[in-house]
Amino acid sequence: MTEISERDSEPELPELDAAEEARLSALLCHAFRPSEIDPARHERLLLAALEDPFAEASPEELVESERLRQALDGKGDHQDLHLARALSAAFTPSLARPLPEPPLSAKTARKRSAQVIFVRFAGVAAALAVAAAVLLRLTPDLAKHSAPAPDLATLALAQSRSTAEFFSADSAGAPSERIDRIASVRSRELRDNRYALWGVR
Amino acid sequence: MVAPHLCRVPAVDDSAELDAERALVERAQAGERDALGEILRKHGPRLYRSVLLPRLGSPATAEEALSRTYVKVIERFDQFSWQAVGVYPWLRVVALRVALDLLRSRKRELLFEPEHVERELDAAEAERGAREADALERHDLNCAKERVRELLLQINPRYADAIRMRVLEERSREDAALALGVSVATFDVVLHRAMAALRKALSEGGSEA
Repeated sequence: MTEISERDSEPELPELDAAEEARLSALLCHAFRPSEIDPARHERLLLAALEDPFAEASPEELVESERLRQALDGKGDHQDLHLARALSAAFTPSLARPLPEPPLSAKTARKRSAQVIFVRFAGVAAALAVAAAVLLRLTPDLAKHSAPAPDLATLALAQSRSTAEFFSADSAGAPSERIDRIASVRSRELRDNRYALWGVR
Repeated sequence: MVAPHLCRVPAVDDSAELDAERALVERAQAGERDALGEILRKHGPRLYRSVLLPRLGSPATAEEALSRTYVKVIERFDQFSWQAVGVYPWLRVVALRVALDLLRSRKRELLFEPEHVERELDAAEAERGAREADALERHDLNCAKERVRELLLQINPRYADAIRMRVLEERSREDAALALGVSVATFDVVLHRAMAALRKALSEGGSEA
């Protein structure tokens, strides 16, 4: 049997990792011996395409769309509000104010009323806080030395953004290295943002 | 190797079937979505198999392309005017245009370059529906195979053999190694180098057709 001893019959070949090799193999197979689309998947694609997004709305749809609009504005609840919040959190995690929480249901409110002792405790704590504020007001020198509220417009916080740049064809390193790099950059930016908001940057 | 599934979708090859398709087209153009759905249900798998998947190289991208093709067809179906060979040639041109857009937007190497699909579109427009669905499908599948052969011609013949046996014919490592006259471990190295050589050929243009 012939064994490989040298590669001088070929010019220098590029490095090819296992994932890229598998991708090239798949390209060849799909061109040379294309497979069928899964019938169930095709049916889903077709039905989705055939659905008319601009079809006339039914009365129920009008009612539900108004409820959703109000829920998104922070008034009332809607089952799709939770989904919208999940999508928003997954797609653009940021320091911005999240979508409004739905109001507590009556059942939850009743449950909470059993915890009246904690409410009373909170009332006492609030009264103490008011007293402390009055004290601070009466001693302006103390207030002068406290940290000013941060001006968000001037803090130049790091913004959430796409990680596409880490996945360009030129990006060096294996996928796990790129993920590590993204995690590292994101952690650093989160710390920087916190320090900026605390006024310690 | 013979491409399977060529006849799974019934061909529009007789007048009765063409008449039925024409009736569906008229209903679809009158606004019946069910009729349009029936047309796409019949021809969609063929577009996926012979136009989109071979050119785009991944099932996920081909499905995305099929979905976009459907949306374009639904939006523009009133522009279709009946041809003697049926609706498939028109659907194929829409799919080729979608594939071309996707090929242009991709950054990684694929087997097909946008220029290949542009030439296909030019040919389709020149012949203006002269071929019926089965003939077009055979043409598309052969084009894709020819493209693979053309790429394999650009690398070392032993590399081409390794790819042909292991990737295209799905023969076992042992079988392929035996045919090449090397050990299995050596064959693995040859195949790896073959893929690297193929990638190099693709990145250097890889299109002499």
